[in-house]
This record gives sequence, C-alpha cells and structure tokens, in this order.
Amino acid sequence: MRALVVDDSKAVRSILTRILADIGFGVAQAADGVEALSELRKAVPDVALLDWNMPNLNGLELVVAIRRQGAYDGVKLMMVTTESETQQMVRALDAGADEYVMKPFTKDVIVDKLELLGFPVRQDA
Amino acid sequence: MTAGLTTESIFDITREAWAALVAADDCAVATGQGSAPDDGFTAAVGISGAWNGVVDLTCSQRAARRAAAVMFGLDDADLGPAEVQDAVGELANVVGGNVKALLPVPTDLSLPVVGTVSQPADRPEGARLVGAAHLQWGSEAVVVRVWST
Repeated sequence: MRALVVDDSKAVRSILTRILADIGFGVAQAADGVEALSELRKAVPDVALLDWNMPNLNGLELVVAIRRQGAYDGVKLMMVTTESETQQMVRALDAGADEYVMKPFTKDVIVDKLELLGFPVRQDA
Repeated sequence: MTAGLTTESIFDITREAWAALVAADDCAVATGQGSAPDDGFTAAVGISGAWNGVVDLTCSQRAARRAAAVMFGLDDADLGPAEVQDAVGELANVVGGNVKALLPVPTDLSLPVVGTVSQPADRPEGARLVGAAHLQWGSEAVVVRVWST
C-alpha cells in the first residue's frame, strides 16, 4: 500500500509518515498541492492525506484537481486539517474527498479512518 | 469576549494539541497569570471573515526544541532551526484552528508566521487582547493569546 502525505508543515509530514509506515504503508511526501500533483505523476498512491491550508495550491483545490483527472479515480482522499466549519467539510466531501480528520489527530483516528476506507491496516506498533 | 472563548477553552485546546502532537499530557494551567518566556518563539495565525484577529503562541527555546524533537522523532542534537520553527508554527496552527471553531463563521485561517520573542511576528495595529491561557509544561511556560482586530 502506498500513501502520499501533503502538508506544508514538515513536522506533520513526519508524524503522519511514521504513523503510516508503522501500519504498513510506503509513504511519499509533498509540501503543497503543486508538489503533490508532481508526486502523483511519478507514482499513484492508494491514499492521499491532504492538509487544507497550504501555499501554492491548497487542499481543497488539490482535491478538485485530482478528481478532475480520471487516472486518479482509485485514490482515496483524506483531508487532515484544522478547518472545522461544517460548510468546509461539506465543500471538501462534495469536491471528492472521502474522509475528513480534524487536527490535532491521534494515530488511532488515522487508523480508524483508513480502515473505514477499506485498507487492511496492520497494527504492530 | 466571544461566548465560547474563555481561558478554560483556550487551555483545553492547547492541552489537547500538546497531548496529540507532542505526546505530552503534563501541560497544566499556570498558577496566577504566569509570565511569557523571555526567549524562544512566538508563532501567530490570523483569522479573517465574520471575526477578525490573531492567535499567537509563545514558548521558550527549550520548550520549542522539546516539542520539535517529539514531533520529528529526532534527538535534540539533530534538530535544525527550521525544524524547531516548523514545529512551533504547526502548534500555533492547530491551536488557532481550534480557537477559530469557537468564533462566528465563516472565517479563514492564515498560514502560521513564526518569529522570536524578541522579534515577534507582526500583530495588527490596535489589536485588543480578548483571551489568553498561561500553561506550564514541565518547567517551561507556554502562553496562548487571542487578539481581536
């Protein structure tokens, strides 16, 4: 299983990468939406975890851009963000996000959401 | 002060961020008002829309490095200035985002700006302090302030 972590904070990318690696994912990283699209062209992940507030191309714009391209239909998209307004969650889900996680998150929440998305998560850490 | 925005709610938000991101459950309310650290970092996020203001988080150099070490999974010796500032910025982002949830909607959250205590990120002129929480993390002080503009 492959995951792409997209967040402008290197610390968050590091935390999510450790969580995902612990449960059996190979992980690529991107610091914003533009980098994420570049990573997607190199290798298509099974799931992408996307921050909302990022420079260049934000998380919502990235969801729209990914869903516009049929080649990525199989990629599950999980927003991981501090944005908590119901309206914003609805916008993200309407745009094609599959799950929505609020920061601060715990490993358990990330694992639960991945299981909901159908990933056979290995928990040995 | 906005109804949901109390010292207690700011403290709870900060403690939750610390517990999740820094794996620390030993953040306690400081006795009295406490005082802001005289070295270290101040990170700020702006909120704009139905409510306008700034949320800033100030912590000592030692607290910042300790938090960054946990967030990056690195030893202190392996941390560079960029990692430490990134960690403080993300803590401010998470605290600010959750403070935003207590305010009138709709609002937008800015990207975090990180400065030092001696050279803090710019605060808009005329900003008025509307809430604050002083916390103690071990021997280190952490202060979160909410400013209305």
